[in-house]
Amino acid sequence: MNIRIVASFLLLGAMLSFSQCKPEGPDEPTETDADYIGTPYTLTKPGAKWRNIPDMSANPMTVEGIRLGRMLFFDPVLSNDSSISCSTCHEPQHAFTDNKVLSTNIFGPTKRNTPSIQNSVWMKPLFWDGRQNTIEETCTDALLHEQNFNASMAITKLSKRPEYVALFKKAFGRPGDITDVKIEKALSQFIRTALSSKSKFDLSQYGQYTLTASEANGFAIFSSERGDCFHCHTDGPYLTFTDNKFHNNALQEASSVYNFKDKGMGEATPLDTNVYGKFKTPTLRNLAYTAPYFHDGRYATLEQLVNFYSDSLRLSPTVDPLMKKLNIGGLHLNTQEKADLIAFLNTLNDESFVSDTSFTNPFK
Amino acid sequence: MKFINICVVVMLLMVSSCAKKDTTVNLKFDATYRNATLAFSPNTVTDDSANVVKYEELNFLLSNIELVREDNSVAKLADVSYVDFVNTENSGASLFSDVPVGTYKALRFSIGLDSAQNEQDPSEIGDSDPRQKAQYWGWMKYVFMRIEGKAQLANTSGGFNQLLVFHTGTDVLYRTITLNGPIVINEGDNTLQVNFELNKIFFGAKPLDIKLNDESFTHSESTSASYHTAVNISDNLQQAFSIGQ
Ligand code: HEC
Ligand code: HEC
Repeated sequence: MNIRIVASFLLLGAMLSFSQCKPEGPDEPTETDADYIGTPYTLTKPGAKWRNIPDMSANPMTVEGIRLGRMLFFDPVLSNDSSISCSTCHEPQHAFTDNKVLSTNIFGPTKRNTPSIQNSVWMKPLFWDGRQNTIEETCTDALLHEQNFNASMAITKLSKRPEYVALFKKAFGRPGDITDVKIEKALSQFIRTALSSKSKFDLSQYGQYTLTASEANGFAIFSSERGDCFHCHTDGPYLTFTDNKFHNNALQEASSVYNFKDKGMGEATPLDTNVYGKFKTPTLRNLAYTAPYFHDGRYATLEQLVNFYSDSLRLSPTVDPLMKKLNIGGLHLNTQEKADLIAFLNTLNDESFVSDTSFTNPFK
Repeated sequence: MKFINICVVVMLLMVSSCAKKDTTVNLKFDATYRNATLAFSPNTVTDDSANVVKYEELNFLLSNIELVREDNSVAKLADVSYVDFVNTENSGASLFSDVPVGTYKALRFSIGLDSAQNEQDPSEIGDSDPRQKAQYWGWMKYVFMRIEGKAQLANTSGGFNQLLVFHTGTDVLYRTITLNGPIVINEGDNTLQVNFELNKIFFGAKPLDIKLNDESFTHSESTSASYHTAVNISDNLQQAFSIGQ
């Protein structure tokens, strides 16, 4: 026993002296180095029309934390049979979704479509039903419920991998053990870096792109009474394209609150029947990469989705009053208006985001 | 020279000690519907035309809240405040301190923001500014008042399928409300209760018929066929407010 401890000290000492020889990279923590914090990483908001980066003192970002989080995100080690990772469902080339109708874990399809995790530093609460408030809680919940893996098994598996033992130390310093809290913190740090802010629409804000007539008209429909989309898919003057609130957008027909196929927020707070059938408004960024759409992945194309909003709204007790003209099915946009609206939605695609190499699989 | 200085100091001291005491006023809004407390969805209310309505949202931005003295001078309570009847955890701080004790002839406030207040978008104001609690929509700026719900129209059986959305905003729909007193502010804590009778918004001097599509919603877009709905609502506001018991 004693010998083992001495040996690990020696090993640690050897590693330390080795890392000290290297010109770059932070110092690894030592038993005496209680203040080790890694290399601080500052997340900056992409521009004036973005909300401030929220306070992150509960989980300060570091270069080492993000690197570890990225590995954990892509490494199937965090699953029972080492078959899936977060990236199985949240693929960077699909703006962190999977292009499946329903996400599929080791037991088969789950009941919901995979949402993107882009720009989630400003999203609160999270999940379609809002059951978690912080990205940290969401990661642990996802590990358990999407990936069917629990934290203690994760700790056991990771502790057997020396490269992870070292990475955890680099990311979190003393005492250097692997814990569930550190796993969720590292994953969260990586997720927070996934910011998409360079779409054509963004460029148009800075005069670097001019919307075509069709795109501009689509934006007018989106942000006026004609299309009424802005009510839920805007965040004041900010460019998030979600109000971060919960609505029933007339997707599910139900004669009583108990008849919703998916109760949405009602699953998170079952006692409040007012929220049954309400889902979190998703962002509209990168739709070209995130099909199919809605919590149940029911529409494969934006054409189908716009036809729904225009013509096939369905009545239920909690339907949002903003779903205007529901009694006649919707706003009845004409063919040109529909095409323009879709043209506008497509200006929110950010090619640079889905090809950004800082979000790709670090093992490849 | 020195003597004059001392005089000034003494006079200042005298003035401040003569000044009336300041106290706190809790401005409390109660929403009523045909004289009873307004019950929100899933509860229903029946309007003057026998439509059954479930109200889901009711909030407004108040600004330039002041008490008016007999000589028309004013004691300002606040620049802006926000009142939300549904999400009460959101309801604006309506406790105002440093209000001079005295008798006032009226309470005056505006629904909405004056043009200077409306001009600053949420990224330009502090996080604790009450305007942050209101909605802000690009072209129409701050939403002054938001009323939403669903109605089952009189003599129909299709359920609550008439959706109601009334959003007022833009500088031209800023309305100032004056509620005559006398209002006595005493030393110690004061509660000033103001009733807001929602029914009067639709059945006031400029009535609206929620049966009509253009009178069942408005976003205050001046080119829209429903624009008069926003105007009527704004013009009915004075009648809807009264000093409560
Ligand atoms: C089997 C597919 C799958 C896997 C694996 C998976 N997720 Fe998810 N993820 C989903 C689905 C589906 C949702 C939405 C679930 C819901 O709302 O009920 C989701 C939601 C999320 C959200 C919330 C996004 C939002 O906008 O609300 C985050 C963050 C997230 N996952 C992170 C992770 C992390 C971290 C991992 C790895 C530990 C992971 N996910 C693994 C499918 C998956
Ligand atoms: C009452 C609020 C509301 C309004 C108005 C609204 N939406 Fe939505 N939108 C939502 C909600 C909530 C969802 C998620 C619904 C679900 O999956 O159950 C959603 C989902 C979407 C999605 C799918 C995104 C994805 O990743 O799956 C798109 C695209 C979309 N809306 C576009 C629009 C357009 C275009 C309009 C205007 C015609 C509009 N929305 C109006 C609330 C709204």
